[in-house]
Amino acid sequence: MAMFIRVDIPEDVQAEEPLRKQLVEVCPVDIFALDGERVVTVEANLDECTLCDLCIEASGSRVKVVKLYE
Amino acid sequence: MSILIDENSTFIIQGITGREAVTMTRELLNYGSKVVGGVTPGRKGRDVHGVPVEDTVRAFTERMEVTGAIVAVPPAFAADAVMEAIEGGIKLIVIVTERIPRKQVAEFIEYAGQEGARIIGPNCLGLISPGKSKMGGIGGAADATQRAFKPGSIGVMSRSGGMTVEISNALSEAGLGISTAASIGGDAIIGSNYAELMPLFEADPETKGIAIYSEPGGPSEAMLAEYMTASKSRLPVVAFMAGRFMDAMPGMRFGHAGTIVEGRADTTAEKIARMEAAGISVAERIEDIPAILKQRIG
Repeated sequence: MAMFIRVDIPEDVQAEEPLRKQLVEVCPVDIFALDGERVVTVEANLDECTLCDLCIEASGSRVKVVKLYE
Repeated sequence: MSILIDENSTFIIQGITGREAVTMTRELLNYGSKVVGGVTPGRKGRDVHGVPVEDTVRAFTERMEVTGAIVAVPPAFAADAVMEAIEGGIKLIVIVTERIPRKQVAEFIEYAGQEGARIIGPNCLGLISPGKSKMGGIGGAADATQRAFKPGSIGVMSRSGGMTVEISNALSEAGLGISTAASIGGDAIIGSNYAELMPLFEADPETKGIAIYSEPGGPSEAMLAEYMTASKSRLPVVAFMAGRFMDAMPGMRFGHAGTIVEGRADTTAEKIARMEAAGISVAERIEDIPAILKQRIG
């Protein structure tokens, strides 16, 4: 269970194949991974997040990074 | 004016898609630094906060003027990255990476010297000319950087990245401000030590004095003392010497790789004596530095 952040990926993002791949590419700490037709978060890497915002930028702010400690 | 970087400087970041570099890129852009590209082999075509990524350094240097490269790749790849930057024609290289093997550092510093390139670091936070540009992670977020580093007349050099900020913040609060601050790196072998950067500050008319953070270990303070004696520098220098406790506790570890005391000349007492004999004021506390500098500048 991640301690610091939760990442919410909405269904409209899941529907876009290029965006799914892009999320995997942009994250510097490998939080995203492809799982068949979906992009999922890698639980073990969630707390490595540097809050770089690249996933948020790539998805036009549709992916949400929720800080659990605030 | 300033030294090494100003508002027109352009940079690339090697290893831009990595964990630390992604955040550093955003902080540099927010501060106003001109980051024109990033290099990560195999990642050509991507962008990081709008900065285009290429596979090689030459992809940028062959089509635009690039002042410097920030190396933020893992230790195992750092030497190759530095060599690539030098071969790409880059003349200023800030190496953020720590834990690069000493032999490799010695090799790329020698190569840089042959090619007329200057290296800052390794294991450093980089450079800042306040209000103009910064190169590296120094200061962190843009708003914090603007608070700690006000434009002014003091050159800062430090073997500790954090203490570069601490001293600069004290100088900014005292109204003196900074011309350029250089985190020169905490490793045993570094590209540019105090004495090697002094002539640049000497040539900068806006710099009126120098503040230095020094530590036990290594010859940098002795070399600075020799420079000050030989050059009859116009610049008053005030140093803070950390780690005085180590003289009473031989074998105590300090932190940076460069702080290993290998002989009497490396001890704090010896360094303080050498610096004072060369006309360098040694402050008892960091917060005393601005007042001493004001007094010496007159």
